[in-house]
Amino acid sequence: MSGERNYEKLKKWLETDPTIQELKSKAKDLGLKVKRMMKKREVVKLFKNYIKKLEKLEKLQNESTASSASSTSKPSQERQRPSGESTPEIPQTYEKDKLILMPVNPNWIHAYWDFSKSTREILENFPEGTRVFLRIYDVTFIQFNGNNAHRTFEIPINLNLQKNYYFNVPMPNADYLAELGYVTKDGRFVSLLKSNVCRTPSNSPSQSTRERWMDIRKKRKIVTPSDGPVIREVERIAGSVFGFEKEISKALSGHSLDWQLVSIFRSGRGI
Amino acid sequence: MPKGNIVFMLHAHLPFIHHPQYDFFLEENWLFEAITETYIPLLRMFKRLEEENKKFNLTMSITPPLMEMLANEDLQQKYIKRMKKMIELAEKEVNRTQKENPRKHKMAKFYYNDFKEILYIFKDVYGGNILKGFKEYLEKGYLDVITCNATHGFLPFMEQYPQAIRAQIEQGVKTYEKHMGIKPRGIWLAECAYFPGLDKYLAEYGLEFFFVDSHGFWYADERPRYGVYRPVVTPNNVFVFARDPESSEQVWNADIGYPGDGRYREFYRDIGFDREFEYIKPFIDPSGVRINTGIKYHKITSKNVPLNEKDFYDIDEAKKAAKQHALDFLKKKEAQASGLLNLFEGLEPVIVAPFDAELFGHWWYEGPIFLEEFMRYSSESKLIRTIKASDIVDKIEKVQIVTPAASTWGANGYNEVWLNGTNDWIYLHLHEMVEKMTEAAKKYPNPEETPSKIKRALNQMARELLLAQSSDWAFIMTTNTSVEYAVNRTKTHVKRFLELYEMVISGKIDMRRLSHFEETDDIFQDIDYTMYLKV
Repeated sequence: MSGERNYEKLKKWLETDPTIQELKSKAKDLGLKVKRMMKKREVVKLFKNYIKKLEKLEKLQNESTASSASSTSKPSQERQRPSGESTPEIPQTYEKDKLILMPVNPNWIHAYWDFSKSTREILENFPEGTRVFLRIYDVTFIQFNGNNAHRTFEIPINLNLQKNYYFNVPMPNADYLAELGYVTKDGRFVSLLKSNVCRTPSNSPSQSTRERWMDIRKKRKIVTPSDGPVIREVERIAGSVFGFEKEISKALSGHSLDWQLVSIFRSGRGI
Repeated sequence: MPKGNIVFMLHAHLPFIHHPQYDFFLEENWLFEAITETYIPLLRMFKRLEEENKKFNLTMSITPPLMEMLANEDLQQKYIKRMKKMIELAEKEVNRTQKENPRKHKMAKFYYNDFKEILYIFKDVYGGNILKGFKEYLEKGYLDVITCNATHGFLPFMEQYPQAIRAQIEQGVKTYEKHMGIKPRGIWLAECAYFPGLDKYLAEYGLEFFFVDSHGFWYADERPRYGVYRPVVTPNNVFVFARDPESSEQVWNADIGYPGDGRYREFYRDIGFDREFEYIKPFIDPSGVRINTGIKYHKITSKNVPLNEKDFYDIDEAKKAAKQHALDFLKKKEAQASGLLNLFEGLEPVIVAPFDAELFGHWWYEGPIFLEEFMRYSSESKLIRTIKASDIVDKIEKVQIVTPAASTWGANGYNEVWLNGTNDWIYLHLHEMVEKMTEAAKKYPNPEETPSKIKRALNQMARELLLAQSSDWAFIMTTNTSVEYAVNRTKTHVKRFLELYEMVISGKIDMRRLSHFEETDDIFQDIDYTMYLKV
């Protein structure tokens, strides 16, 4: 089995006393979570645990092949889902530089990021204590040139722990753009990734004082000053952000009907 | 005399679930339950009203995955098999309940006859494909069937990828045409999710109207003079209807909505769970997992009564309740319409009431009866009329030009149901798949010159991508029911897609794998990967 050869190899390599840099880079190749602050001793421990895990896994695999070989038929009640493939493994990264903003609601934006190999390398070679930030710019109605945003916000990010972030923004119906970068020793912000522009949804009536109309038969557009709507809507006030989580637990406790649950999430409420 | 217009809009949708390798697959039952409890009862209602010469008008979106499932012969056969089992079970129940209780016995006989009739309609009237029924009433002018974006993908999260939006709409239009024989005039956007600019794409595909939630109008770029009670048109010439919050509230509300009435059937007392295991075993999931059979003997009784103390259900009592509620709803709509007519100085209001179709029948068993009675009452009303959305579009003479605000019909009105800590991980993959799909399609821009193996792999990539995009998976992760299935489906489509991508890029197509994927995810036979070139 190739697994066996791999961990045997790894054991031998560990005995050659590799440097901390070698250890760290190997660990990353294997997908082990190394933190920048880790000491050599800690990284070695990481490897030892990894090897133990592989050994255990192989033992298990051997046992299961033995047992399935001894039984002539497969258990009939086995239900693999979906369609015969057990939970598939999918990549954690696509090795592309990407910073994507998505609107959650009028005051929240979600950001996620991914890095190319070269960017990851830059990040990994940061001197100890380099601080990484997500910068959010309000770029409503402007062409962003790096320093003309209406407002700029900054959030410290720990790249070892975070792959995405939800942040609160002050303005609904506004354009936001983000950059992910680090601060140099002399206090400069260096951008590594730049995001798309993300518009937060509006949550209040327009201030516009005009109405545009289309006369369909005459195919003519008419623009008139607005007296405001003839009907005054009763707006719903949305609860706290993600407040519906409370509603789910409320609905799930007791004997609420599924349609009530569906109605909480869809179609009944709007806002 | 001017009247108030009521646009009833039923959104019929289920995610594409087909597991051809299995004789029985639990989640395929979602479709079977909806056929038995919602879709066929609706067709029966159309027929009865037609025979009585009652005018009725309904708008329905039947989504592309639902159309593909209803037209799928394997699923049709599985449904027939399931119904035969259910008839067998109902017959056993008729005998068994004779000694148990007269009210149970009455319902057992009812289910036995009802299941037989449903199977007859399914198999003998429509030859297994009930889409024919909906098409029939579309052609007769009672029903307006509109489409939906291809796999019910959440379009606001594709905003930075125009080709992904176009593919969702193009495949939605194409699938509708394949099954309905004509071009769709309107579209229901998945989750009612709109963002300013989306209307441009709809116009490209000749779509004339769509729907938004109420606040889409309230917070629009210019205030609609008549609020949500008249459609508007976007600068790209697409008509928009907005949801009337009152109608939804009256029907849907978890506390005061009609479906909570004590006389209605209790969803959670099903003999699939109530009967002893050995007896019910042949009629549930073969693995022994208990499932709904559709045979239920209890009524809600009162919300405060625990499940094990529910009283017995009576179909005639429930029908009476549905009729009362239909009359109540009519009175409410008439009052609302008169008020609006006054306020609008004689201009006719348009009251739009959109619902998940499956609410009627599946969740609310008596919903189709309510709807039928409402149609009966409203056909005689002097104050309101039911009307199809497309009829409004045809009749309207003057319309305000407005760009609606970004909105959805999800909890709190925006995107958080489809983007939160339970499901945010999927978007890295969904976005990357669009990029890889586009990249691969660009390598083979001329489908006529593309080697057939490569072409098949590219088309299958497009299927996997579309299936992964169903908003249902994110929705299910949020509601915390059947999460495992939703996570698995998402990952499975990502995995298959990436495998196919590697094949296309390397030029080495593993035909065994490809055929396996084609057989398993067998949606959209007419798919054309070059739609991803429309950047």
